[in-house]
Amino acid sequence: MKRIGLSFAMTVGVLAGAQIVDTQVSVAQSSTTGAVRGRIVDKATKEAVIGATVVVSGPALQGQQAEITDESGGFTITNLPPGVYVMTVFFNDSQFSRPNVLVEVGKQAFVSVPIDTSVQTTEVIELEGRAPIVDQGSTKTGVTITDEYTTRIPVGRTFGAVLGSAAGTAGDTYGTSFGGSTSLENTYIIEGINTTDTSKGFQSSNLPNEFIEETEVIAGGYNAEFGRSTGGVVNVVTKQGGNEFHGSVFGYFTPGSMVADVEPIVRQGAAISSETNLDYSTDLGFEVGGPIKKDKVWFHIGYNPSVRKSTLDRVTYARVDADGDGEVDITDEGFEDFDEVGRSPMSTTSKTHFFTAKINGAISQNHQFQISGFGNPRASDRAFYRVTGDRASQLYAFADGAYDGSLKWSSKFADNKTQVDIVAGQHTNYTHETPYFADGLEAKNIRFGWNRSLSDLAGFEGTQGGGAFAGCEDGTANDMNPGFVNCPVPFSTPYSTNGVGALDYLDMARSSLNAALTQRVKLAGHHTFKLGLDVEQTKYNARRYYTGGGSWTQARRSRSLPDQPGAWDLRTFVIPIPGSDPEDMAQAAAADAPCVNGLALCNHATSDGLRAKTTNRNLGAYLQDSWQIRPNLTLNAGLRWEQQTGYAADEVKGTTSVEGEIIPDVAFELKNQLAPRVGLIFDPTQEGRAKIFTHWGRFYETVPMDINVRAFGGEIINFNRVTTRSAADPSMPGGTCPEALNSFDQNVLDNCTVATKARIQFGGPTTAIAPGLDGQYLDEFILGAEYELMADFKMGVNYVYRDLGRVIEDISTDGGTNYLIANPGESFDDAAADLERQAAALRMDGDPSNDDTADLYEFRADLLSRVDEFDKPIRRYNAVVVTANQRFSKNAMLLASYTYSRSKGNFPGLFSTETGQDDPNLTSMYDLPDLMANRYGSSGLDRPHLLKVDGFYQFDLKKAGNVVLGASVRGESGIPHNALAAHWAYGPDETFLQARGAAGRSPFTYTADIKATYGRKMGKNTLEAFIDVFNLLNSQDQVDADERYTADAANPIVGGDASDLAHSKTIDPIFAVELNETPTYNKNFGNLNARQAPRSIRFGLRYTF
Amino acid sequence: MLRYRTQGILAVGLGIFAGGCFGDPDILTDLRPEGPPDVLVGMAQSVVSAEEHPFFCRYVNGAKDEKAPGFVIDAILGSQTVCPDVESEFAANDADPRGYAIRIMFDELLNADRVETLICDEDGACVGSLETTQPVTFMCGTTAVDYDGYYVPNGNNTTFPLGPSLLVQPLSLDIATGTTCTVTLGDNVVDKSGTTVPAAEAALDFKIADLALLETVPADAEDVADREVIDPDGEIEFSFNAAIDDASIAASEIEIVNGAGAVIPSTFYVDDSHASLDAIFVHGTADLPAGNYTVRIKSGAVIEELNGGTITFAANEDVRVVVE
Repeated sequence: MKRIGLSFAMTVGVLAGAQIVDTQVSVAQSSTTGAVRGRIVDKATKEAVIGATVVVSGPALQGQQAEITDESGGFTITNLPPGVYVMTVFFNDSQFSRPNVLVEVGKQAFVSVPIDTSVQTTEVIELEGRAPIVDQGSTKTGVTITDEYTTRIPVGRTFGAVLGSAAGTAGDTYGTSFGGSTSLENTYIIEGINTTDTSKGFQSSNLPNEFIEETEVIAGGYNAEFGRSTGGVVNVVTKQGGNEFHGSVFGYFTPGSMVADVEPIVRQGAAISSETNLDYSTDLGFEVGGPIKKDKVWFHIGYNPSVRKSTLDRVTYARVDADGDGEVDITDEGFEDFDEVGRSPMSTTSKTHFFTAKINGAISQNHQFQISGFGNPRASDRAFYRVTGDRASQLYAFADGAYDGSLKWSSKFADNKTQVDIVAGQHTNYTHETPYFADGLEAKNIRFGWNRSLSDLAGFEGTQGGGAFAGCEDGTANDMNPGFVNCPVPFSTPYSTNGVGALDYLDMARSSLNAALTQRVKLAGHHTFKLGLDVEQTKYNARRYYTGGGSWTQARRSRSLPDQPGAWDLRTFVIPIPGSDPEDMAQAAAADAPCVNGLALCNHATSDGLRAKTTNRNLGAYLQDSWQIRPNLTLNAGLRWEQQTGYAADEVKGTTSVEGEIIPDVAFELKNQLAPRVGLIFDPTQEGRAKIFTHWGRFYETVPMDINVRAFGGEIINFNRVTTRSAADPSMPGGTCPEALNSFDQNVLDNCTVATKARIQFGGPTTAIAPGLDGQYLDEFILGAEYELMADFKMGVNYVYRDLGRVIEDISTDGGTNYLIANPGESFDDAAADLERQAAALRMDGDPSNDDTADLYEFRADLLSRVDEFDKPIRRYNAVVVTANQRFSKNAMLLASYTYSRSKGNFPGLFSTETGQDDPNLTSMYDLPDLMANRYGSSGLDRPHLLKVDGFYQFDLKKAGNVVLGASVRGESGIPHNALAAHWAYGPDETFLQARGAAGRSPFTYTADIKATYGRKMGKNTLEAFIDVFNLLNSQDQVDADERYTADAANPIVGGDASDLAHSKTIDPIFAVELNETPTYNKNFGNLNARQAPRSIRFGLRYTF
Repeated sequence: MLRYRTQGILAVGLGIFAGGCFGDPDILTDLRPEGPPDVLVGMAQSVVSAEEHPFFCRYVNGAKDEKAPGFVIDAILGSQTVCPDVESEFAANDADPRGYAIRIMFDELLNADRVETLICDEDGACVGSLETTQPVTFMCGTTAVDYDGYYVPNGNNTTFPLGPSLLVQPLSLDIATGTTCTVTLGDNVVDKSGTTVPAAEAALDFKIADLALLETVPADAEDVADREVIDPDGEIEFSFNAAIDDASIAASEIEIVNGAGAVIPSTFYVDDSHASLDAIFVHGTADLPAGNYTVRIKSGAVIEELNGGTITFAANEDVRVVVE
């Protein structure tokens, strides 16, 4: 076997007529590297060339990697950073060079090289060839995005913006949905570490495209090494250094003046609304990499500060009576006519500091390490204000972002047949909301929630309101229309004053360690076994508070008590007093409220709020084999095991619950979640030009930690409902709670001595867990085919079926008094029977002190026995996907797909697509049986048609430079809509009056973005100027509609239609009794309430060196 | 430029693989629109307490109809098992004579316009009425009862109130306690395909509760220490579930006995000032001296309510109090 030297003769000749069959084989590799595999055969005899030395080198690799071909002529070189390589084969003193070997993240390039073994020359014989475009060794679906795409196609600034390029993806409320799953089900991996937000599953770490080497967007079909996701997996590798200095300096600017005017949304309005306009958005940055020591230590750093400035105009309107008939004028659309009477601008600025740093080191060819750090801290000045409120209640500072660090080590042994990879990582993300004004922390927010005029609220505006309410004049001598309210504000648009109200201060973190052992074995073909272990310790520290310790809301007028103007709700967090006895009069008098179903006493939380420090421990292990049975037949099989342990908040661990139990450290444990994966790839052409593939797999969710804080963190939300009544009413002792607005005073409200009319509490020290709780999972089946129609161009079609098999949710089987975290629709009868046996045993032991515990067990058994009375969760996604992909060649690139899909079910995923509630596994969707009706239907993520076309063409102007024209076209079906009502206890939009999706669908929309780039060489460097036009045709079609049929409470009309809606009856929200009244129809029901973003233009410059 | 051999067959275009499930699954909370409309439950609603309890449940071969309500949650009024799983465990509840309505729950939506009229104001707010459509015949004994009410398309067997349902509200309560009534569904009670309720299910019987003593104020107590202390001129109230005909009460049927067992002169009156209950108030003809007393409706007493229903006391009804 020949061994390589470190330098080569550089005289190159071309071997004409050689035929090279390259087969891109994708087998699971490290998540940040790829590999090259292949065979060296004699060109004439096709026999294996044994003992040839294969060397790969390239700008992305420190040094070189080499291997000697085995008895089959085969070789495998792993752990190669993504990039383009040159493969050189040394045999019999001859050298054969094969350039343009493309290695991508998570893929293995299969390069089969026929050489003329009879040649004896000192020249380097260059072999022409290209990497095949059909991925032969993997059943993964999705796309890999490089800077070829991000520099030539109009896209957003960060890698998060490219996720939508994959077939079957669509935007949802919180990110990008994959295959009918909600975006909170995705996993985001950067540099081998999991950077997914631990609290709810958001994408927390984000980096500008200039820092990114490759983004692998995996929609499905992946092997056992990836887990903890029932959505998609996004795998990102940042740029690294090299033996030469390289990098870029770049800048972008989006002027607000070039954003097209927003088309108005015509609605039955109230007197107050808002317009948000971009002033400008800009960022300037650099990234540079190079050697610290050539072939040994490289570095790469980058910094990109970004600023976005916007202005929110709060606009006030008054009704119009132009014809003077004493009635409000009606527009052609049937709505009341309003004119603008005032406008108050408020400005906000958001600054993000993106950064990256990486060191790559090679101890030797077989031992390499990498240290990287990156982050995206953001601070927003005066952000996220509310429209209806005085400034004190509108403004708060918002800071969020993430910091990440990873350390990787990779070693090869045993002639490179054994590889060990270790990745240690630390991820931190945060959300900090603090009052903007210094005294804002102690101001209790007040919301006025019943029909009134803006004129009533003018006194709260102060000078900063700019006289915005002055044009209303209701009830004044200047009132031009005494017959009606000029500036009506309905109860559904409450006005806030006196304080911000609810804020969060959240810190999340994940420490992780991953280790993988890869072993290649030749046995009945070629096996690549991979055994992996990973451990995660996650944290979620939450402080959730109300400024002033609580929030007052003046509830709407109760129609069952027409003479009473309404009632006040005080919402607070309450904290149980340890060891308290509600029967003790002295203790009860000293406490703020009874709580936990009257079993304990509580105090209202101060402005410090509710604190919970929680942790989880997640374990994973997998064993997989990629078995190349024959050159054109590969079987990938693996089994993944996951376990998740969730811990109660430090604040409640070890304390005694009101039932007399010691709250354990472990809140829940999901054990032995076994996720098999099996895939088969067959190339009928045996030339790497086509494949037929299939994959089946089970995927488990990792429960986000929001459940730790909300269900095991001692959260109790208390609603005190106090009545207002006339001071002249002798039947009500004590003082009054003010009804008249002008007499409002927080101290008066705080000191209301009226007896509480009703108290509702949600939550408790901890929520019970159903014994035998199992993990939430999804099953996926894929069947597909691809074919390379011509060089660098392929088409494909595949069928995808995804079925949500089980969910974890909190449910109540006793009307919301007690909650249980269980798998709804599944039987817990065995667990219930076991509790019954335990209760019986306690009673039989004759010790009366055990009777309370026996009662508790019987009570819990009763709860458990009803879990299967809930509807089973259903979410089924069927899709047919057609793709066309041309890799950059002949000056062009194309990435296109059409997906026809249907997504139906009664459970959208980890957030509610109707209310936006983002409490994974804790939404209200399954809380009560009466909330379940009508929930089955077309999912809120259902878009039957998705068309995506991205591409560019490069014009070579020779010495004049080059021009690149890129475009991105999207066409997508609108989402289905619902007819919603309120639930008497849960509030707005919780009841499906009709079946899910039965209230029509938003229209099909399209957008076209273009990018024009002019580039010119400046020596070895390049200067480019470009312009992006987003939404070139300024399409501002409807993307959403008002789904609120009524703000009144009502039960579902199961399977009903419009004729049934007319006869619907309501539920009184205070007394929860049926009323013989049809609900008040929302005039905006079914009207559009959101449009596509208007056209915008972005300018940019980039200098690449 | 290298050329590729182009052998092989283009292996694409597989079309849709029918391995997935495209059909809609059965949902527990769905109604049952197939077949004629079945009456699942008849509920008697008390106007006084707003509670509803069943007087009829649909059983098939002794087992609860799968769409009939089982355990239904009502966070305000109290959850209950409306229809037990087996027919032998079901016990009919009576209607409250103080005020009641009848809810008839169906297994599917009705043709709403056939059973209910909507009366709407100029703002578009509507109330339902059965006055014109008269979807049922309401008989108590041989007396036809005038009624109104409304139709509720909302709800299913897990919601409170249950639905879809007709709520029938009698316009008068002049029916004797203990009377059996029948509500018979008419031909205009049809589902959306126009099918009527099967004749065998169309008639629902319920009973107005017998005349009963609801409570005494104060309550009786066995132990002297637990007995209520009243003023010497205090009254003891016996509350019933219907308006009492004071002419039906013989003076000999009510007495006050002191601690030595002697009968103390007493009198009584009926207070019909309450809208929903009626009571007999008993007190001494003069202030009672301090001591222990028993106020009693005697065994064998027969008391009649204004509509003719009666109650016979099988034993003494005693209220033991203390005067200090």
